[in-house]
Amino acid sequence: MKKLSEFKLGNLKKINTESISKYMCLISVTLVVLIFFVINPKFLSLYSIQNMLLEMAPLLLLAGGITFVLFTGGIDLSAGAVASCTCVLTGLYIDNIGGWIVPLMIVLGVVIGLINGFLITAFKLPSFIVTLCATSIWKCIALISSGGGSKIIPLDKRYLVNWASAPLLGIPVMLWMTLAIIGLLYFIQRNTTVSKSILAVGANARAARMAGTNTVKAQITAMTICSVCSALAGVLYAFKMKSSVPNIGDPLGLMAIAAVALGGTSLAGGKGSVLNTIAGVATIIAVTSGMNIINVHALWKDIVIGVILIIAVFINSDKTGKDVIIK
Amino acid sequence: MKKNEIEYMKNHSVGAQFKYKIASDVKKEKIRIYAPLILLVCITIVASVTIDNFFSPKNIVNLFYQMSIPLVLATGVTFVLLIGSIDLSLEGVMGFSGALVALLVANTMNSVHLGWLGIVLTVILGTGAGVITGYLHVKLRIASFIISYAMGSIITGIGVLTYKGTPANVTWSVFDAIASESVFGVPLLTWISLSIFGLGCLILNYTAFGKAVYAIGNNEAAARSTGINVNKTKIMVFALCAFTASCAGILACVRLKIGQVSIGVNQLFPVITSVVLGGASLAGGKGGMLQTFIGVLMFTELNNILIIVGVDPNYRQLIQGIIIIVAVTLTITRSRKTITQ
Repeated sequence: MKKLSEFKLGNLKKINTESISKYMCLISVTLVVLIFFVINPKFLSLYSIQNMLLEMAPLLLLAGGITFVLFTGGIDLSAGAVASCTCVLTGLYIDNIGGWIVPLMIVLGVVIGLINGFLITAFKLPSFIVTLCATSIWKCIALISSGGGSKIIPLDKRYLVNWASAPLLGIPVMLWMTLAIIGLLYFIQRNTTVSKSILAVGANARAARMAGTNTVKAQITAMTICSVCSALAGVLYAFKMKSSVPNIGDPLGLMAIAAVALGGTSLAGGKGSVLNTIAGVATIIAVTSGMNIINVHALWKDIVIGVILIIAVFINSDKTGKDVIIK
Repeated sequence: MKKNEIEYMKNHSVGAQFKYKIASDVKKEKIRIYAPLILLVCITIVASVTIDNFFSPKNIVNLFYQMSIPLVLATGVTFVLLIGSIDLSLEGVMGFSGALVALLVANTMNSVHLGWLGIVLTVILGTGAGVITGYLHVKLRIASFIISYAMGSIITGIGVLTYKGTPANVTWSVFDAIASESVFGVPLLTWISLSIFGLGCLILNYTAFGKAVYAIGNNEAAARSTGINVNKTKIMVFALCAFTASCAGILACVRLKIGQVSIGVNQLFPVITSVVLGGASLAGGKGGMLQTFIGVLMFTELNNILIIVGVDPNYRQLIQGIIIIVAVTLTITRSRKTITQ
């Protein structure tokens, strides 16, 4: 009997620390919002909130996809470049093809993800290097097809893209779509076997393979989910900016990874949740738009972002296992 | 297992079988280490045969001049990759050092002229940034990817703040001299970069610190239990990486005679790719200075070939990406048991 109660107590403790670290990311986003609100109450005005929600949609999509790659313990640096590429292609061809551009871009995303996943699993290359090379390839394609500059979607075709930024029940349609996709990703994470094997690969790749998990399928699926999400994020950027911008994704890849890490997903793999990523992205967006609202000088922005990132990641980081090795 | 191998196993004792196994593993390991070198030699031979003037002394000197700054950066990156971490703050530290050194020696913006002391001060401050990165990584237990990304953002911001948006031009005559001087027909910049690389070789191969770096990369828990001060070693590794980045920033400033943070942009990922091309593993524990040298040389050579052949600059990045994937596939460290992530 004594043993059983001890066991129960141990279990209870584990659940407690786990649930605390789960809510830590919510605490940090509230903290950030509160600080900006105290400095300038306009931060929570209707206009500003709507602007932030619109800003949030594509980055959330990007980060949601990257979450799955981080689950496997890999990394996808090419997300930003894929987003620039699809942003350019959407902007250029939407007046010829119309709305059919969106499924085409999804197909492109699937193809990119399959190529990445194939290279990683078949030749046993590190995902870091494969996606790094993919970055230079897709960035280059974006630059070549756009001719180096941004191009505005013609005014008579604007009806094809305007609906995405229009508010529905106070929230932009774009964000509704993104939330639906995040919901789908959460469903995949909770209820499918493939997501279990993705997490297993991240936790311990050798053990997962010995247990009979199809690690190849898991890794390819994760890369594909990520590329599809990045491709869609690029489409949303084109809808939001109403033009094709070839270098839009350059800073986004690393920023999205930082947002996922802010949500408490471990870069070593095997841990985290898509829902936490929402809080991470909200923190990043709140910081960047908050700094515009309280008029931080442009020269100071980098420094403030860096400091907030360190503090927020430290708050969210899992402090349960002191013996866990952090690379 | 091959047929003759099975035959051998049947006829010998367990001890002999074990010896045979070890010998064949060592042989495989040797092939793995020399794969990048073989690829480099192949590329060089093909290029010298097909391209006129590729193997001319002038182009070789030019090649070494082009690789001077990447080589300095790669020296530090090798240490960081060896312990299995990554340092994204390198671009920031490089840009910061380039901007700061321009302000501390004779320049067009202010009247400060500290001379050589300015260079020393810049290196110390740059290294300090690395110490902070390493300290935060170890003490706050944040993944090096994130902490160095954040530190890179901070240090870039500080770099921009030092010159407030309008970069300074260097007017100190010593910088002119270093940039234009050559010794034995080889530019002084190349000699400086080679000597920093040599220093890295000495530290990695002939000090206890170097052995500790390898030990941590191979198995951190084991290294910790043998009494290696893992935290201290890691902080030193990040400091060393920042030191080389700082030196690279100063060299870039010597070359361009203008101090701005953008000299660090797009330096990091090519360097990491070159180090991996040489056979280092991103998981740590594998790689070395010689491999790094081969990797950097191969990367620079491929770039040089693309330029000489006259590939459209718009397509250069695309072709470069494809070539690098192929090259890494041919040279990378892998064993049957590994699952890459």
